[in-house]
Amino acid sequence: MTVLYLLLACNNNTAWETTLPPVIGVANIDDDNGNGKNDWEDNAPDEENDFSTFTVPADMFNALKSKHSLVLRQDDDGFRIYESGTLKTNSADDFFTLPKPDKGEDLVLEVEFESINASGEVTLEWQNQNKDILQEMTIEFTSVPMLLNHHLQPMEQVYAMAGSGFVNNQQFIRGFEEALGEQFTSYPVRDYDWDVWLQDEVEFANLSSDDARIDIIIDSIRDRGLDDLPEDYWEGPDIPVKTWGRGQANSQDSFGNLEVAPPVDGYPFGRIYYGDWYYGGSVDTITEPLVSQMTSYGAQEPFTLDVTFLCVGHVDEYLTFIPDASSPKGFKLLLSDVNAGYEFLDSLDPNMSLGKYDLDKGYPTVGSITSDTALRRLNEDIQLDYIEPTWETMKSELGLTDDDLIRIPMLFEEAPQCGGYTATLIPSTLNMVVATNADGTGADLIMPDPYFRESIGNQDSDVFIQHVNGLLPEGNTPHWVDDWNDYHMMLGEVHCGSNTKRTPINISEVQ
Amino acid sequence: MIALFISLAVADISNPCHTDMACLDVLHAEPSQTRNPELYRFADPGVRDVQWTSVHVYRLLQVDTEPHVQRALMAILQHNDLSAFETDLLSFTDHPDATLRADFVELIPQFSVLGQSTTLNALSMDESVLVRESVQRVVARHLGKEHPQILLNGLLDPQEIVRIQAVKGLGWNGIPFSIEDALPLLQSANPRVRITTIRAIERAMPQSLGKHPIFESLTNDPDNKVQREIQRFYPQ
Repeated sequence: MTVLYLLLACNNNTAWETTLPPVIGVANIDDDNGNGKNDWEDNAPDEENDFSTFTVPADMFNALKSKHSLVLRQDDDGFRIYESGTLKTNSADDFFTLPKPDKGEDLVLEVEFESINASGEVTLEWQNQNKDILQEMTIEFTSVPMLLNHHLQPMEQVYAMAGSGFVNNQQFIRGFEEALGEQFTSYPVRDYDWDVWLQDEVEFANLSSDDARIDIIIDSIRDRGLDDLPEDYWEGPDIPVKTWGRGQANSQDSFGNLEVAPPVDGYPFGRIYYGDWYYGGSVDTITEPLVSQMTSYGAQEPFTLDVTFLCVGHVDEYLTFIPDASSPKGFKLLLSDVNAGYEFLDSLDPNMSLGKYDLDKGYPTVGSITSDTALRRLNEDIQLDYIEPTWETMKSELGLTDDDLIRIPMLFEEAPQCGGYTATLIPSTLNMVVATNADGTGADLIMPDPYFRESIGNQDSDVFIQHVNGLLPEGNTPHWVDDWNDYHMMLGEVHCGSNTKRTPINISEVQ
Repeated sequence: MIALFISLAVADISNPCHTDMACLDVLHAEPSQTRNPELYRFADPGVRDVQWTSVHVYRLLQVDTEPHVQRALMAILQHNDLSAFETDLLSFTDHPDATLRADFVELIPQFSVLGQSTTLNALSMDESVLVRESVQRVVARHLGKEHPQILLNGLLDPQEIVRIQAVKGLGWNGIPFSIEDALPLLQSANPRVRITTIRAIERAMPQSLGKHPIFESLTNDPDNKVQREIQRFYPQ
C-alpha cells in the first residue's frame, strides 16, 4: 500500500484518487436493422444507435509509465464493451488491455446492455510490466429501468382512431385537429374492427439516457380490434413492441387502467397506479407479469385504487393529473367529486332543459336529476366508499395535501346491463387528454363536451364548461370535443379513445 | 318448451317496418362493443330515437335475436315508455337464460304500475339469485317509493347478495324497516355489507341503531372502516 501511495505521489496524478461516474445506458432490445431479431442477439449491426459511451479520461493514461498498461476487466454478465466498433468483452471475467489514445485524448468505448434495469461492474486495473496491479478502480454499469410516462412530460404526438359509418366521430377528430394541429394523428378505425379504444390497447414507455432513446410500446393482452396497430404503424428502429402477460384478459388489463402520477418526494419519476376490481373473494387486476415487471424496477413503485364501483373499472374514468406551474409540486390532481356535482347542479335552475340527457339518460331537466333521491343516495355511497378513499390513498402514497387537489363536479349512474355498476352520468371531464407543453408548465386539455345546456349547438352557453374552466389552473387551455355517441354512450370518453406519446425522462438528468 | 312459449307469445307481434327502408335499417342495425367488452350499445343516435320503440321491442322478442343485441336493445328501451308493450314483454319473465331475465328487470320501471307489480312479484321469487338480486337493485334505484314491499320482502331472502340490495334500497328510499330483519347483514362476515347496512338503517331511521343492543358490538367492530361508519352517525 505504501508503494502505491508513493507511486501516486510520484506521478502527481489525481485521476486515480477519484471515482469515475457510472455508465448509464439503455437495453438494446429494439431491432434497428429490421431483421426481426433483438439487437442484442444481432451482434452490433451497422444501423446500431443504442450504445452508450464509457470514457476513460486521458489523465488515467498519463499516470502510466512506459511499460505499464491499463486493463479493463468485466466483472458481470449482461453487457458488452466495444472499442471502435470491435467487440472486446462479452461477459464476466473477459478483459482486454486498453489502447493508449493520442496524448491528451480520452479513450471512448461503446457499451451495449442486454436487459432493462440491470447493473454490473467493470474494474480498471493499472498494471506494471510484471502484470502486478498497482491500482484499480471499479465503475458501475447500469441500464435504465423502463419508465412509463406521466402528465408533466411534454406531449410529442396524440393519436386517435377516425372513421365514418359504424363509428362516426368526425367532430371528435376535428376537435383534436383544431386543438393540436400537426401534433395529432388519426388512423382508420375501419381497419381495426371499429375498435376506438386506443388508450386501452397500448401504453407508451421508454428507455432514455444521454446517448440513446428507445420508445417501448407496451401492447396489452386485451387484444381486441386494435391489437395489430402498434406493429402496423409504430414498430421500427428504436420502437419495439413488447407484451407482458398472456391469456384471458379482464377489463383491468386495459391501459386506461394504468396511469402514472407526476414526480413527488422520493419518486422523481412519479408512481404508477392502477385499479383493482373486487368481486366475491376475488379481484380482477392487471396481469401479474406486467405488475412484476413494473414493480421490479422500483423507480415508479405502483399502488392500487379500488375501482369496484365502475362498470368498466379503469382509473382514467375518475381522476387525472394536470400541470400547475403555480403549485410547489408543479401539478394538481383532478378528482371526480359527487358533492361538488350536486353543489353545482343545485345552484342551477331546475327547469333548465337538457336535450341530450332526455333521450339517452331519461333526465329532461336539471331538476329531474336533482330530485332523483335514489340517484343522490347512490352517488353519496360512491363518494363515501370510493372517491374519499381514493383521495386518502393519494395523500398517503404521494404525500398530497388539500392544496394539491381540485374536485371536479361529477355524478355517476348505473350503467345499463352492468349489474348495478356505474359510469359517469355527465361525460367524465377527468377522462381527458393532457397535451403538456414543452416546458411542462401547462397543457392543452382535450375534454369531453358535457352538453349541459339547453341549446345543444351552442357550446358557449354550457354552464358546466363555464364552471370547470374556472377551476383549471392558469397555463392550461381547455378544448371541449364531442364524444357523446361513439365514446360516452359506449362507456368511455376522450382519454379512452386516444393515446399520447411524450418526451421521455432522461434518468441521467434526474439522478 | 319455454322457447316455444316465447315464440307463441310473440306470434301476434308483426314486423312494424313492412317496406319502410329507414325502419328496416333500424331493425337490422348492429350494436358496437363498448369499452366493457361484454356490453354492446347502439352508437347511432338515430337508432336510439324514441320513434323506434316498437321496432326495438319487436326485435327484442324475436327468438333469433342474439343475446348481445337483446341487451343493447334493452339499454335503449329502459329510457322509453313501455306500457303499451308490457304484455308482450312479460314473456321474458320465463326466458330460459337467467342472465337475460336479470337484465330484463331493468325495463320494468317503464311499465305501468300494474305491469310493474305483476312482473316484480313474479321475478322477486325467481329461482335464480341473479334475477332476485336484479329485482331488488332496480326497485331500490327506481321504484322504491312505488313498491316498498318488494324491498321489505327482499330483506328476508335467503341469499345475502339479494338482502344487501334490499337494505340499500330501503335506505335510499327512506323506508322504515325492522332492524331485527337486518341483523344477519349486520353480522355478515363481509365488512362492506355491514357498512352498507349501518348506512341504510341510519338513512331510513336516523339514530335508531344506537338504541339497539347490537350497537355495542358494532362500535367495537374489528374492521376500522365499519367503526368509521358508526362514528359518522354517532360522533363521540
